Amino acid sequence: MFRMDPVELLAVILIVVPILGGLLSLLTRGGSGLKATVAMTTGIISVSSLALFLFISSGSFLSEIEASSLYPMGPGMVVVDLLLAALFVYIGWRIRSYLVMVIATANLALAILLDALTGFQEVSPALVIDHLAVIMVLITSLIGSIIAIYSLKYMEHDPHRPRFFAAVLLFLGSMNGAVLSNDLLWLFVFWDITTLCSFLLIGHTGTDEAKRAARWALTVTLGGGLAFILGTVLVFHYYDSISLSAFPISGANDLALLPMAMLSVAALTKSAQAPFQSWLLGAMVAPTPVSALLHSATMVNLGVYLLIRMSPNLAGSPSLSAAIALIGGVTFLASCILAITQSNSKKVLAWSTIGNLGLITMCVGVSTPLAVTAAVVLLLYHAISKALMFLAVGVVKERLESEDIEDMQGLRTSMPFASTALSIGIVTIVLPPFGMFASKWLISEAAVTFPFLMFLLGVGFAGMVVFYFKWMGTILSVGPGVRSTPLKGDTLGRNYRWTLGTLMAGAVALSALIGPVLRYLVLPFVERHFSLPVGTDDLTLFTSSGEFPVFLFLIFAAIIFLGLGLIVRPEEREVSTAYACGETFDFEYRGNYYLGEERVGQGIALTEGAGTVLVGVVLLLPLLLEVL
Amino acid sequence: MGLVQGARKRSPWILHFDTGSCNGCDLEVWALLTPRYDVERFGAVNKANPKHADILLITGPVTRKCEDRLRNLYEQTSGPKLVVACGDCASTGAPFHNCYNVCGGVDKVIPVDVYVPGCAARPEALIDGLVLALSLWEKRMEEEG
Amino acid sequence: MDPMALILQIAVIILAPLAVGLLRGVDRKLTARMQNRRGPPIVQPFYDMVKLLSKSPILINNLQVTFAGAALLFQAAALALFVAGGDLLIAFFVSGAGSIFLVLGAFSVRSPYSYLGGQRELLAILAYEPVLFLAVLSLGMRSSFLVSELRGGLLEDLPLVLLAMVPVMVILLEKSPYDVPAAHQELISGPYIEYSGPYLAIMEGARWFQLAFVLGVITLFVWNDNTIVSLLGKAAIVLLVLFVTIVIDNITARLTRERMVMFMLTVGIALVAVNLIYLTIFPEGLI
Repeated sequence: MFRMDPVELLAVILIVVPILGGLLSLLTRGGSGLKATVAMTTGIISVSSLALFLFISSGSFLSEIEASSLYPMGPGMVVVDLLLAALFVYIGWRIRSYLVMVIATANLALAILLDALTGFQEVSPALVIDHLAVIMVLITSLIGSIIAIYSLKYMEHDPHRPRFFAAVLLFLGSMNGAVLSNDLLWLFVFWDITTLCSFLLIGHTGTDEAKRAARWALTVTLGGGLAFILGTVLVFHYYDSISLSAFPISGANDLALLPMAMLSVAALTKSAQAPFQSWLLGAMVAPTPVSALLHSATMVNLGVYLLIRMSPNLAGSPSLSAAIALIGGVTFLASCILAITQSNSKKVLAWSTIGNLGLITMCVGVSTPLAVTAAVVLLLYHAISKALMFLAVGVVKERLESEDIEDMQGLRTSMPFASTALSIGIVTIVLPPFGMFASKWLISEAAVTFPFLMFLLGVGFAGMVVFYFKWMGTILSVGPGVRSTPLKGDTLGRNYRWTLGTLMAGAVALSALIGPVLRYLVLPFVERHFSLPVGTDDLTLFTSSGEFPVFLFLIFAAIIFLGLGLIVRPEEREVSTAYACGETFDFEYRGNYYLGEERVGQGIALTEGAGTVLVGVVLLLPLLLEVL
Repeated sequence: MGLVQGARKRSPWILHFDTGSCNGCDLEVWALLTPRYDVERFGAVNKANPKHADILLITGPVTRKCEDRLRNLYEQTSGPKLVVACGDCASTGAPFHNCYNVCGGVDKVIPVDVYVPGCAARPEALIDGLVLALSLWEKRMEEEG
Repeated sequence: MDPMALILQIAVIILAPLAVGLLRGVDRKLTARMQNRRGPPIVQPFYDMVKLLSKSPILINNLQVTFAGAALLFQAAALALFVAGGDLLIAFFVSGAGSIFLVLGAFSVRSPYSYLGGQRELLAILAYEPVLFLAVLSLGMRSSFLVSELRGGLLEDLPLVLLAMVPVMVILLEKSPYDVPAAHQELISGPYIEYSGPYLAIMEGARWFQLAFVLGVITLFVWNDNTIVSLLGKAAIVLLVLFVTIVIDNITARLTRERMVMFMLTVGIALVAVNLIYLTIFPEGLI
């Protein structure tokens, strides 16, 4: 039983070690023992995820693990599943939410029904490790580890540290488990554990606002879980097996689409797409590392992961995928416009996350090879840039005790390290030639096959420019003759410097390495299901109708920002004051947010309305197709 | 150098600043931009902004309130720059020269290159002053080395 | 690569912005004539440029200069990519990055007019970028996004897209009714206000490159197998669009920024949409 091959061993480590680490940290008292536990756990999963990547990319392209070789896990999952469902009923009773209780009870009933239907039959294989899973594991393990280490400092004075880190580590473990699972029951168990962890983390501070946000997040994502288990039961009904790989690649039509539609809706709740986006916005009350974790390393990625996983299957049913593409497109457009109206930096980031996930959803819906490539690239690069930005906002919040963008004026002089981190985050998200830009380009080319989406994209991209650069401009705005404090002069603590520094270096380096990233990570996955859409010679990307000389532009950008910074050294006599009709006093500035609360409310209502209609279409489409 | 001198003479950008005028001279300055006088045919443009200006057209006696602002605007103008005092008040302070709230002419605050007389200064006289100022570029260049 | 072609491309990259400079001179002359004035000589923009370069530099902080340089180089890169026959979509995004650096340069100095100018420039980007983006996509969706492979028959198919390019040019040339960011009377050249002397010349140069690129996109609408006819047609379409822009400038007054954004996001986009819809229904085109 213990003769496992290395890939199996790594997979088990990635799932079990964080869970054990989480339990262990509950036993500590929050001192150095906790630090050691977190450091050890994150170290182990980081190394294991890299090792897994090396094994997969060098040897076999696909590794399948049977449940029998993981013996106690198989039956264990059934037990955990039922226990979890019961736990959710209890939580619903504790937080006095009848809705949660009803959903949880339905969950429990369906879980029992599923077990009865399948007769505890084991799915073969239980775990599948392919390139998409490896990408997800890398995101969760590496970025998640950085966030966990950052939280060691950020949560230093929190009285409930052990509980916090237990939830964080459990979260990472269950994410890894979810993306590796091929058995839908296993996936569902891990899916529900992430729901539980996010509930615990959002409500961590225990304030009334936090409790309310946690309760709402639980309601929505548990509702998604219900859709998931219902989808799983239907999967068994229509496809005779509850494994992800058993989905029909094409030809599933009529009612047989229903399970996929259900799972898609579950994914949409997890990824906070319209009309389910409100839980993610509410979750902003949580401590900043939690937001970082939810937005970049875990939680919301799981939904789009499931969609990308199903993309080859969805590609065969144009009407369903069109509806999903529209949900993504509408979410993207709405979030880019609504983000302009927010002055709270975390709200801006939340809308931006929702928008970017909308783009991924849209790509899955377009489901051409180009679009799926764009989706995976976007998922990867978004995770790292967004983690960087959230952690930087956390640092700023700790110093300024505010997360309002207007309070960040002239941050360049007072907190050079954090403002560099924020600027790099923004630049890598929006500007060419950095990582996310490549996916933006691929998406634009892919959208040509679905012209309606072009219009959503065009306005959305422009909106994104507005809200991000309004913010970056505020950070950079300093008075006459003020020189930026050099990075060395920043008094930021060592922990923050290393975590932010690693993410900054990672974001830029990954942009430079987009060629190899595509070749070794993204394309092998896409290639398995589609014809190859993008070519690369590591320095340039090619599609059938365009090319992008990435490396040339990176060198170009480096020359501009390092070169000009070194060359331009103005003499003192050249420095003048700003023109203000001859006045010299300092003016009060205030950014413009264009739409008042009323209009924002209308916008959100409109978005949710459109989202509800589209989700209704997704669910009713199989029935309609059957009837017609 | 000839090219630069030539370009400079053909592209005088103007900052018009009223330091306390009765608006008589201001109206005449604005008349310069109308089709009848059209100073844009000399390349002159009213930029309303010291950062872009080459020539400062100042109207009115300099009130004490305006003193700092005038100096500030002058300092914000990048060199080489010229100052034209438009009208009697700007040139000398005229009837206001000994008012308690007036410094006097523009030259009490910043160096003036050309004085255009008149109450109000006629547009023709202003164009004349402008052209005279343009011929001072070379002299100004020599002074500034 | 063929050395002759390379030399030709480099020549075009250098000459195109100079041609834009000349067009701006023509623009000022025409505007003056329409207002019954004599106006400056056609080479006036070059006088201005030389003068600006010869002035002594004044700045607020050096980040401002970095962004000016970045704006110039990104716009130049966009034009170079375009002339070299590269990906039109990439060139569009690179040019967009250039205009973002203009905004960042405006924000990076703590000056009220510059700050307002930056905010308004962002709104201008929000207004014109979607339309330009859609125009670029509809040019590329026929065959390819590589400029070197785009051929033929676009004006016949996409007349409304060309029409939508007119308000885009109005914004980019800072003409009424949409000269919102640089609004001469209230913001006194908005985002450009804190640049003086040579730095202003850099920004102006960036604008020449940007206009050269966007006018280049407009020339793509015309194509003929005969090189001379093709070139004449391209010149004619550029001059026509410019002339229409100048006429609009002279018969309108400035509108508010909300009106600008709403017009572009409704009418501008609708023009492209209508064009694409009828192209789907009548693939052969109407004309």
